[in-house]
Amino acid sequence: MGALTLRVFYRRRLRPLVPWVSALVVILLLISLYLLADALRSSTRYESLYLWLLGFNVVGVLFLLGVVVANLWRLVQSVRAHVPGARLTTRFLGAFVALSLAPVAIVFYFSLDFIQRGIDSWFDVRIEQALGDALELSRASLEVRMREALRVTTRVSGMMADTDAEHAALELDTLRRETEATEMTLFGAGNMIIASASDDTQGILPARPSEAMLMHVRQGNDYIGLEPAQLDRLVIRVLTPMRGYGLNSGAGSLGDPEGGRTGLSGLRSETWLLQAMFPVDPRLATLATSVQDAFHQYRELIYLRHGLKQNFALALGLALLLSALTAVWLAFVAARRLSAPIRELALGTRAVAAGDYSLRLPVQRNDDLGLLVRSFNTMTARIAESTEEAHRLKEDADAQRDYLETVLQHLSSGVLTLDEHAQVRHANAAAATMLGVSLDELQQSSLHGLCLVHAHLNPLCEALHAWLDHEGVVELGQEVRLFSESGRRILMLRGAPLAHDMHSGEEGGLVLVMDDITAIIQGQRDAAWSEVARRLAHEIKNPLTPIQLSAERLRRRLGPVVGEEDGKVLERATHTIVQQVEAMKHMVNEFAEYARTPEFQLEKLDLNALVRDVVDLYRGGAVRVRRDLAEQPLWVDGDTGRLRQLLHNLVKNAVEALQESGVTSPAGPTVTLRTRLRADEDGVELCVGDNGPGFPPELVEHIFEPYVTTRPKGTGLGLAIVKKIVEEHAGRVHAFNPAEGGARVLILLPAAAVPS
Amino acid sequence: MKSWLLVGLLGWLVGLAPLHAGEVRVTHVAAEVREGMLYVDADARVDLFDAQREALLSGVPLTFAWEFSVEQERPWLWSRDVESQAIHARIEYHALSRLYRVIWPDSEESATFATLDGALEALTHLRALALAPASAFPKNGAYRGRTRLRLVLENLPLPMRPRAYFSDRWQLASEWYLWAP
Repeated sequence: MGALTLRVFYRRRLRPLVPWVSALVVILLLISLYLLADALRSSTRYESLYLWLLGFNVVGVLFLLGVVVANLWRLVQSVRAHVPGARLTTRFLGAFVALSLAPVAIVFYFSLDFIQRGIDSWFDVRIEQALGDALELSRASLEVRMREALRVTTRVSGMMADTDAEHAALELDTLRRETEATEMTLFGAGNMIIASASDDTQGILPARPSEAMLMHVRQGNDYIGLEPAQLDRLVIRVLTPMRGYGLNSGAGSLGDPEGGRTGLSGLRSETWLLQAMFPVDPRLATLATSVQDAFHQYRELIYLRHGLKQNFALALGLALLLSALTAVWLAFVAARRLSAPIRELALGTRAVAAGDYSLRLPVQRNDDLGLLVRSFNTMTARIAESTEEAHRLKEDADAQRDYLETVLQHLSSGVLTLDEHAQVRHANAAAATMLGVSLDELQQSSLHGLCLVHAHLNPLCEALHAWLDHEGVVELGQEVRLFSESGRRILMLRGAPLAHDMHSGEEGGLVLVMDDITAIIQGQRDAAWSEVARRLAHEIKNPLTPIQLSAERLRRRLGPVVGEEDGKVLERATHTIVQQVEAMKHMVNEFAEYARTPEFQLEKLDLNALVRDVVDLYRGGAVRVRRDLAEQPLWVDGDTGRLRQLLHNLVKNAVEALQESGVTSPAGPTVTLRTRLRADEDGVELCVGDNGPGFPPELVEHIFEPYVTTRPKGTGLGLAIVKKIVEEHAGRVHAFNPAEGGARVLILLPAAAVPS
Repeated sequence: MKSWLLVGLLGWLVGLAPLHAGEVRVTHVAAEVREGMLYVDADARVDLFDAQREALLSGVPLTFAWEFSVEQERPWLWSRDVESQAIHARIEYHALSRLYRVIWPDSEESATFATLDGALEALTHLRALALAPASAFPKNGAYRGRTRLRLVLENLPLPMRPRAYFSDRWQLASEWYLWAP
């Protein structure tokens, strides 16, 4: 956490300061280098700061080196991470560095060589020889003066020999004046000053010789030396031993190991030292000093030659490093500034490639790169607008398609689209229901494949093939009848070819719209029959009662008056009339019942319980009535009375058919009522079958129509009423002869919700 | 045969050793209070490297500095400088007279010597240096004197300095010699 905070602090606060600090360091280094060069030019102003300036330069150069290395490290990291613009920055940097470092390196090489050669050119053996000769000449001219001074001093020492201390002091100043010496001093035993004479009245003490000089003279030698004095003056110091007489103090001189001899007057013979200081002619001294200074300066320069070269090379090296590092650093800055818009463009391009068109790059320049950035922004804005428009259009199209899909799926008409190879491209739920196949199967099949699997669809396929094979026909309008387990369906087919879809690239095909007109046709037929039945009942029932009454009156009036023979005929005839009129009344009532629109009272009831009640009524008859019921209750919304009538009609119809046909099956005549749940149809199935001869094949299709019957006594209305009740309950009924024999009537009623 | 080998080895070892090993060492410092003034006598020994001898003969003057300081020792704090003084002495070669000259810039005194050793001898024996008045040292304090002698590199010609700063042969400075005032 701490490291993260420090890193964030560095990136946000410190890193922006680095360029400014670097620029300040460069400026300070330039000033420092100037001062360093000034110090090297033997200027005394910054000489004392030399070490500090050198140290500051080294630290500054190291700082710049650190900045450059840090920049280089960041660049390498960026290149490795494939940061956009990193490689371009590297190329810019390489070009800048090459352009700047090459001339700097060339200038450095030639400058260094020039300095080396320039310093070497200062020195010449002949000049050194000449200066040495000049110094030697000065020495020679001074040695003449020195020998003269020695001679004079020796002469003075001879003149003062064997004098005592008191006299010596008196004579010394006289002799100094005569010999033009600036100072004469006599040193006695123990280097005590016996006498001294000087032309410098301000000086208190005479110039004492060093121990080495004293040692030299004590050994009996003369000493002569040239010594520098104040104000570039030269003096000649001469020391010579002499013999004198000092006071007898009873102690020998420390500097006279041989001791002394004692004179008669009480004085002691001692070895004294006479020191004389002679001035050198000022003009000669000045010239000689000048020659010496020049000689020293030249020798010093020769001695310092190596150091000078090193210092100049060091200063030049620092200048080179400063220039090179500054150039590299500025190259980094320039390369970044140049590549920044391109890096931003690359990032923007990536964003566009990733689908983000909202990015707008900041325009900070007015040059060509700025123009490029502006163009990029315009381009992305237009792409964004186009994408937005396309997106909106797509959403509209999707909404429209969803709308159409919803409409299609909720359409009562079945819709099928086929491609040119009769492969189903699209189908709605109504189409699947009408064709009696599942929607998934329908949508994944071809029409031909469907007909192969589902034989009841053959009439449809035949109609379509006929249509497709017929050239020039562009629209289809045909009625097709399909027979399946769920009954007969009459479909009205309408078809049209589809145009080629330019957008989706789909080839043209067909669109089929199917309408189930079974109910309509049936309704029309039922309505017609009801009207017929109602009129028939009305027209027939009215004359029946007068007929019956007339027949009974005939029998009653004529019976007593006719003979026995005729009376029997009359009785038989009127009985027949009355009986047939009763039969006709019964038939007319049934017609009336068929035509009647009953009060319908729907309630939730268990079909199994109803079947059990009805079957129980037929127990013990000649025909066995058996039930095969589903285990669970089968709930339907229905009218109990009407459904009970339906069951009675079916059972009674089957029983009578079996009785009339005289079934000889080993199991005996049997009627079976079977119920089951049809989850696929969301309905309840009731199947009533027998083991009789079955329906006559020619009547199967019309078995539910009125007056269609196979029995001589049947009215032909039993199954018609059954069908009417089924349709009143929104169900379907279908009669067929199964392959194993017998007849079957299959009823499918909508299932009701299970009561809580 | 073995003795010859031994002599040869010794000769090789002697040959490896520098001809003149440079060293500066303060050998003795004595302090005395006279007439209300603290006087100091100091002795040192200076052995120059060949580099310094060559520089002298090439006309480069060498400046030495005697550095004196007297500290008051305090039991709970660091010591406090009571008196500090530096005495400079410059040796230069006088080519005309072939003499060595020792100059004391502070007192403007000078002396000439025929040999470098003589000049160094004069430089390394300080006598009766008046360091500070005795009143600067209250009697209830504990004092400690420190003295050293060093070659002043800052007075070398500029071209020589970078090399001198980083060369062992030019680091001529004695350890601090402690003495009791």
